[in-house]
Amino acid sequence: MSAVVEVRDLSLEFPTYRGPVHALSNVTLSVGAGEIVGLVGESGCGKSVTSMSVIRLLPPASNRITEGTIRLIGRDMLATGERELQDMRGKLVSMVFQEPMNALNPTIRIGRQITQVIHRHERVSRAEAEARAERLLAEMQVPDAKRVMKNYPFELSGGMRQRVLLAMAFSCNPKVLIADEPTTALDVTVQAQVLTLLREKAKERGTSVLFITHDLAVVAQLCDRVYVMYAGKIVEQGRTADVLRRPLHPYTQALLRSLPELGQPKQPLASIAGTVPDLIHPPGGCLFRPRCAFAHDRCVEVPPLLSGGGEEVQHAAACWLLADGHRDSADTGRSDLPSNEATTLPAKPAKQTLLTLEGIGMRFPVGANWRGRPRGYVHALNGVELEVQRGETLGIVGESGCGKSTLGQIVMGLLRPTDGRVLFDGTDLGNLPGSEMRRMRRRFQIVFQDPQASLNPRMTAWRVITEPLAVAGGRTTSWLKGKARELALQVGLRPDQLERYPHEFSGGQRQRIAIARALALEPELLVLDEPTSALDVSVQAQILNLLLRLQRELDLTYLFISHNVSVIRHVADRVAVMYLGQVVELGPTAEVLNHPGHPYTRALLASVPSLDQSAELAAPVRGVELPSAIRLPTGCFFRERCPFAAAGCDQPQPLRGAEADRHLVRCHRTGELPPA
Amino acid sequence: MSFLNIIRRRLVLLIFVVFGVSVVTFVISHMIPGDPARMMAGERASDETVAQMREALGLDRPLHIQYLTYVGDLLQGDFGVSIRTQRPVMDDILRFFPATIELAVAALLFAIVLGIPLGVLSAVAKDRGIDHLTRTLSVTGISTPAFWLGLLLIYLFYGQLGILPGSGRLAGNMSPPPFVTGFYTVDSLIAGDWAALRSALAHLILPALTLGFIHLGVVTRQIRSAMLEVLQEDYIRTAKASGLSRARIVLDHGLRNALIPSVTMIGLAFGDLLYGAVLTETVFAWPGMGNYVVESIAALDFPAIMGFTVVASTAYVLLNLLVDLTYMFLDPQIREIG
Repeated sequence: MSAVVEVRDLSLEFPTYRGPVHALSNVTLSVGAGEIVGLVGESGCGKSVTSMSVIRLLPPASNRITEGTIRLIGRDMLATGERELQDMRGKLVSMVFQEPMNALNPTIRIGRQITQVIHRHERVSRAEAEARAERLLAEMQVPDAKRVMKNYPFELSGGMRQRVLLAMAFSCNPKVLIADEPTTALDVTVQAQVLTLLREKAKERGTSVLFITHDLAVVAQLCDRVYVMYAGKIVEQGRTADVLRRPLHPYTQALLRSLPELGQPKQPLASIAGTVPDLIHPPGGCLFRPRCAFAHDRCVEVPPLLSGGGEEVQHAAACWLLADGHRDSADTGRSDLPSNEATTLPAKPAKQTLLTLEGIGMRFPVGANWRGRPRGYVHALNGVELEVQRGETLGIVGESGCGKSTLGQIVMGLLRPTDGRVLFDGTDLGNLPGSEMRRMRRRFQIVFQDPQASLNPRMTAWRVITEPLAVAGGRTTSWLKGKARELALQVGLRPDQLERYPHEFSGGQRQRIAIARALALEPELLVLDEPTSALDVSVQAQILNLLLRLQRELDLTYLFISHNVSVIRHVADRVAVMYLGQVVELGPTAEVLNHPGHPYTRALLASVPSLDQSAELAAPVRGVELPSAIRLPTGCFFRERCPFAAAGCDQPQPLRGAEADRHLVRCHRTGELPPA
Repeated sequence: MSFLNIIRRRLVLLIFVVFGVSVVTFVISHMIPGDPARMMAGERASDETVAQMREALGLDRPLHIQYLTYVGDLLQGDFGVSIRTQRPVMDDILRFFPATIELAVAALLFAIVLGIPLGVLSAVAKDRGIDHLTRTLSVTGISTPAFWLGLLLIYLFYGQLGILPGSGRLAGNMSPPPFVTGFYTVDSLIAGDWAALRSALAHLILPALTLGFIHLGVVTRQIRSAMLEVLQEDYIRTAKASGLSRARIVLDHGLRNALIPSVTMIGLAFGDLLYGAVLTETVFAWPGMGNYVVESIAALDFPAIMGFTVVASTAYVLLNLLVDLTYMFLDPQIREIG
């Protein structure tokens, strides 16, 4: 197989005031004709830099290539001039990026954005270009392609925009497609559709794909071969099945083990100690050495790529353990589990309701007529009934727009619901006078998704942490600092770092600060709104471990909001699945996720990519987009997309189950459905 | 929201704005110490004459009655008679206001036509020679006092080179074109009087440069920073990755999006120009609103002050409407949501 993309020994640095950042060191990779190759790693590992370098898209002044070659379809990309590079981009090689929401020009119609690319590279008439653009959109399963041609990007959902971008990328039949986290910003059901589409179209046209992602499960579903990157180096490569089933490099092994889907529910996950090395002053030798459980004398030398042996073709890792006389590389034992985390579950205390949501409805006005009256309402929540028991974790899972975050804000009293009541420990929060509410608020706190955005950048860490205490007044600075130290230790932060500002911490540490702050008032309930979604998996594992330990130690109750089914499966006792502002299924986590009763829950679960390659990635929903929350569907909200829709579904469905309070499903056909 | 909706909404708003402005100016101008009747009658007039004058002007009646009478007249297009010039205020406004607007429009055109390309150039060549030059120019523009620049230009082009006139709107021996819009340039064009058009344009150049120079700096900086921001956007990367040429990326994908935040600023700049014209008008003896207002204030000429304020605030509301409509034209999303 001849290589279409061939990167050899590529080293690249970004000059900074502190000295050059060694972003890539001796990266070698290749993509054969028609092959789909994954490039996987955590943030900052250099995977995007590699992909951008292949088509020379990095601003020339920002970086310096110190050695190596890049060949694309036989051409030496480092010796090609800018004009010629422009001719190649979009024609021979095209690229799809992560954020479909921003990747299209907001002021230009979809049709013109696609035809612009066609006109750039081919001499065709306007009508011809338009016809081709429309055909491409239809091929990417964009419904009503003719209308979409005239739409502006903001009129389309994220999934639709990514299809438009794929249509654009395929418009001139490129030999190579570089896809940089193209589905990371999408919901899982949409991700499943887009991934399937991408694989199908690439295989159909014989396009080679270099697929950049942080998600090992996506790699499992999509890629023929995979490269694993760490700190600007390829640490492992091989056929996807080999790498995922028998990882050779300790980093790959640790990464796989930190995935919640491979852990036992409620048990600590293996996490990787320490942080990624500073690439301005990288440690000599193996870059993973400082964090590696198997580091030994020889690791001070740079390890070469060594074959894993056996019949596995091309499976190799840059690790001295593979040199003769070392341990069996297939050993992926759990010997390095952190020992300070207790592994036994405490006995559940007697049932006691802490939080009750009664018929919560929330609508937001949209638009305005000339008198300023709203033209309609977004029905974000439509009659949510939930109870959270003291000491439990209630997981709330659903895709974007299902109302899960709105629900969290209502519980916190940040939003006042249009209908219904929130009862905390039996007290209706809606009727509390200000002073009582302030007292009550100490008892429930929230942790948000993005610790970078949610922490005040002008406050030092100890001030951030103790602000809730300082607000009450009457405390001296030294008392507050002492308290901050206590809280820091509790969440695994070093007390000597408390004088630093949020930007001086890593993402995981920042989330620890956010958690410490939430704990400062000794609350009983924590609302966790996607607390790990902005983090890399190895860091996510650390934070999940921390949350589980804190819950045991402090007897906390969690309302855990997440789009990530695996995370919910790992942490939640009970789970509520939300769709269009309703709870469609509710019950003990294992029961709901192993025996889903609602067709939407089934679709959601089937869309989650699995590390098991034999599991077929599927999105068993019909090709209609999420219905408008402005004009809600009648009857069952999922009816239009449900593969099992039948007579009777046009009636409103109540949440019901055989055993009251156990496993409730909002579907009247749940008993008649074929087994999942 | 549709174009029609926003226009309808703004016109309703306009009523409230004008009402509010007229009340505030009315009250304030009557609270200022000083007696317009005395001013009109002259220093040495007898108390009796002053009293008569006061009665004739209606100044002896209670304030709210005076206000209601004023608003009643206003609604019929009657702005009253100027105490100072003894002409109907409406006539004065029609004479002086177009001169100021003509000057402000010319200044703004200068700032925009030159400022946008300079800003784009500066952004594209960030941190290179042309960028440094442009930035120096815009800082100079922002920090140069208008009267100083005006005097310098007059000295150079009128005094030394003698190629441009240094004062007035038209050559002394010419009569203004028949009144249609009040803009001499437009009116002479309508009348087909080419000599008057040339003279009007020649007279406009120096004051417009003087008044527009500050805003040239502002527009250039604004466009530069908006462009730099837009060029960082993901969709620019998409365009690059599809092989589009640099010119296409900058002009088609970049500039249109960079204009959106700039429109507000340009709208505000126009408001500034209207008020900031006073100095320039003085330097160039431009018979505009600025001089008229200053003198009216000095003479406590209430009808004139009130008339000007009402017209200026109306103009300001209409200007903002224009800005919003431009917004909607540029940004499809605002067209949809409003």
